[in-house]
Amino acid sequence: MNRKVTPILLAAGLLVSACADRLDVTATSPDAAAGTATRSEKIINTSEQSRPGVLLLKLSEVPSDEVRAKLMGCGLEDLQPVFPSTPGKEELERRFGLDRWYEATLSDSQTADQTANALCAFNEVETVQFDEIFRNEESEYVFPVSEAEMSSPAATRAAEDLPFNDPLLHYQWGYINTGDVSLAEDIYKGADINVKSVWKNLCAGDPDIIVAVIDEAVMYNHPDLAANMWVNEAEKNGKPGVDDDGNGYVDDIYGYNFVRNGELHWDGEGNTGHGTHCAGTIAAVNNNGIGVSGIAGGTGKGDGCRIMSCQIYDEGGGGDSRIVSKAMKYAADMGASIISCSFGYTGGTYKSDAAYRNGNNKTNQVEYDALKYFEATKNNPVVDGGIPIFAAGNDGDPYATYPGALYDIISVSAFGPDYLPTYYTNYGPGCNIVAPGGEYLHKVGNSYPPQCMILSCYPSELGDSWDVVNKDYSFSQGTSMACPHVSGVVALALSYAKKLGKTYTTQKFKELLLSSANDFDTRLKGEKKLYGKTLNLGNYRKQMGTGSIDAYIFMMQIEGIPCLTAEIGRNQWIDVSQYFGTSSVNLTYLGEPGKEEGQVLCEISDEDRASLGLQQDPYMQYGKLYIYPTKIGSGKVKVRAIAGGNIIGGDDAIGGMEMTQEISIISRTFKSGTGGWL
Amino acid sequence: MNKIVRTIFYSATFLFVLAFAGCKPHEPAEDPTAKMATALAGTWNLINITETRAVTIGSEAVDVYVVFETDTPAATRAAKDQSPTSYTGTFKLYQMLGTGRFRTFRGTWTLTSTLLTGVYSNGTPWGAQYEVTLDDDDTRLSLAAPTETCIYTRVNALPAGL
Repeated sequence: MNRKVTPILLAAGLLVSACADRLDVTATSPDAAAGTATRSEKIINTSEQSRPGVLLLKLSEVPSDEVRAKLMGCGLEDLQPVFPSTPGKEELERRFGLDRWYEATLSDSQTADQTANALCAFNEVETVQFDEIFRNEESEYVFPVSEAEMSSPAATRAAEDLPFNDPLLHYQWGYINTGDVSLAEDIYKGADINVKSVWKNLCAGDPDIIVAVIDEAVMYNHPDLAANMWVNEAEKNGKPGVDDDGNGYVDDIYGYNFVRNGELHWDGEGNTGHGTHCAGTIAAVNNNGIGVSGIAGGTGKGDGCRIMSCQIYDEGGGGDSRIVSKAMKYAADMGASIISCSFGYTGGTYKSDAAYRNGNNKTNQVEYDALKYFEATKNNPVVDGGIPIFAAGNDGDPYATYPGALYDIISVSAFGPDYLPTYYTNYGPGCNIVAPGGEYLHKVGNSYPPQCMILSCYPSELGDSWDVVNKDYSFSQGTSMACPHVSGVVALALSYAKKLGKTYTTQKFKELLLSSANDFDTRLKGEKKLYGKTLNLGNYRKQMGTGSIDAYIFMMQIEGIPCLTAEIGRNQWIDVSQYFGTSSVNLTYLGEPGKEEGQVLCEISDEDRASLGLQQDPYMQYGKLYIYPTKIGSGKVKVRAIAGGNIIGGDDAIGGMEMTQEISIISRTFKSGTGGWL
Repeated sequence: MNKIVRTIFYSATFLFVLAFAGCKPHEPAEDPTAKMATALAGTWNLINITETRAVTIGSEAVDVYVVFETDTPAATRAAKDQSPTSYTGTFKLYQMLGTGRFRTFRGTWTLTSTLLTGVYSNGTPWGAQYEVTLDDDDTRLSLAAPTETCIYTRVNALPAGL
C-alpha cells in the first residue's frame, strides 16, 4: 500500500532527529528540501506524504473578494471552504475556526512548496498545511470463515450459555473467552472484554447512540449490519441527486464517501473490507440467528446502537487531512456520539502533542480543529460531547501514533487470545488501554488456524477468490480490531447510562472508561514465542495503558460505586480496584509526596476530613489507599492517576491522560473482610 | 383401707397429671433462645444507626436489608454437641452504601443465648458479634455490637428488584 512510509526511512529519521519534535522526513524530498531554507513558520508540515496539488489554508477571517483575489494570484486554480457550513452549527464552527479553513487547488502541483511560501506572505494567511495522508491500520492477514465454522455446533453454543443465537458468536473470543483450546492452544480463559453478563443483565445497545466508523465504507446492506445502520431519513425519503437535508452532501443516506464525494463504495481494487469489519465488532445485529454478534448490537429487537459510515479510504486513495477532517465534522453534525478511527499518522511522525497540534506557529492542524469540534458536539443525553477512539498502530513501536496519542484521546493497543501483547501492537506512551486485537500464528496441533484472530463482518464482494460459500465474514487482526472493541464498549456504556439517566462530562466519562480495566501486567514476564517471532514481555510492563477493557466494570462504574468501608482507630489500606480496575496497583498516582518514599498524598475536603476524624492526610502507596479514620463518618478522597504510562502527555511529550476518581469512604467501628454491613 | 389408698393414689395421680398437663419441658418454644431464633426469622430493614441517629453515615445513605432464615424445621437446635441454647440459620444481606446497586451477601448465623454471630459464605466472619434484642411484638430488632448499634424493622418483603 502506498499509504505506508517505508520503515527504513522512518528509522533514519528517528536517528537523525531524536531531539526534534517533528521528524525531519523532508531531508529525502528534493521538493521539500528546496523549500526548507526559506520556509515560513506558518507552514506546519511538509509536502512529504501529502496529497499533491492541494494546500489547506487557515485564514484570519472568511476572505473578502479582495483577499480571495490576492490569494488566487499566488498560483491557485481554486479556493473553496474545506467544510460546508451546517445550519445551526455556525457558532460552533466559528469557535473552532472551521469556517476559516480553505482548500487551495494549485495550478501547478510541482511548485507546492513555493506556493505555500508565497501564500504565507499575506497577513490573512494564518496557517498553511500540506494535505497529509493518514495510514489505515489495515490488517496483515484476512481469512474467510470455513464451512465447518459457519455450522458451529449448537450444542457447543448451548454449553457455553451464550446469550445470543448468532451461530459464530462461539468464535468471538474477544467477547466471551471460555478458554477453548481449539481456537488456540495457548488461549487464556477470560481474555475478553467481559461483556456476557452485561448483555444478559444490563444492556445491549440503544439506537440513539450512533457510532461513526471513519474508515473504508461500511457495507450498509450486509445481512448482519443492515438493521443497525444509521439512516438519514431526509435523504432516504428525498430526491436522488439532491441535498435534501441541506448539509452540503448529496444522498448521504448511511453516511458519505468523502473520497469520491458520493455514495459509499466498499468493493473494487484496493478496498479491504476494513470498515465493514470494524462496524461488525461495534454493532453487528445480535440474536438474529445469523453470523456474528456486535458489542452494542442490541438484542435482536431493533435496540442496537447505530453505525454511520464515514468513508475516508477508497480503492487505495483518500485518507488525507482534509478528508479526515470533513468526516469528523460530518459525524458530529449528523449525530454521532463516538468516532471509531482505525487510522493514524505513521508511527513516530510526531513526538509530542504540541508538535502534532501546532506545527511551528502555534496554530492547529485542520484535523485537530475538526477533532475538537467533534469533541464539543453533544449528540446524546449522557455526555456533553463526542468521544473519539483511535487504534494505537500496528508497527510494534513503543509509542502510539497521532492523533490517538494526544494525551486526552483514547488510543487502543491490542492483546491476543493468550492475554499477552500482540507482536504488532504499538505500546508505551500515548497508549491508554488494551483490547482484543487478534493474532495469527497461534498454534493448534500442527496448524495455525485463523480463529485466534478477530471474527467480524466482511463485504462478500471482496471474497471472490475465497473458496467458501459464505463470504460475509472474515477473521482479521490489528489494533484496528482492538479499537472497535473499545468503541463498542463505550457505545454500550452510553446506552446503559442513558437508560439510568446518568450524565457526565466527556472527560469524566473517559476517565471511567480508562479505570474500567483489568490487570494486564502480571503476566508480562519472560518471552512470548509465536511462529517466527519472539517478544520480550518485560518491554511491555506498565506500557499497555491502564489494562484490558472490562465492559462489566464500566457498567458498574456507570451505576455508581458503593462506598468502601474503613475501620476507625487504625491506619489501614483500602483496595481501590473498584475505582481504578484491577490494574490499580500498576498505575502512577499523582499528588504531593508523602513522608515516606512512594507515598502520594490525596486530597480531601476539610468537611470530610472532620467527618472521618482524620489526623493525617490519606495517601496512595503500592496502589492502595491508606487512611486512618478516628470516628464514624464519611468522606470522599480524591485520587489522581495517569491513564497510560508514567507521565502526562502534553506539549512536550507523548503521554497518558490524567484521571481522577473520588473514592467514597464510610468509617465504622468495625468492618468485615467482605465489605458486608454485618 | 384399700379404698382409701386407692382414692389417695388416684387423687395424687390426678393432681400430678393436672399439675403437669400444660408443661412441655422439651418444646423449643419454652427456650427463650429458641423463641428469639424463631422471631429473628424474616426480612429486616435498617432504620437507624444509633451512633449517627440516622440511616446515614456522614453524608452517605446506608440502605440495608437482611433476610434471616432458620434452619428447617424452624429453630431446630444446632448440632447436639453444641450448647443446648444455640440455634442456626442462613442469611441474605442486601446493602447499598452510598451509590450503586445493592450488593448481596450470603452466609450462616448462630444464635447462642442472645449473642448473634455469623459467617459469610466465603468463610469470613462478620465484622462484629451482636447482642440481640427484639421488642414485644417482634417487629423491631436491635443488633448491638460493643461500639455500634443498629435498629432494624420487620418488613413484609424486599423491595422490588432484590
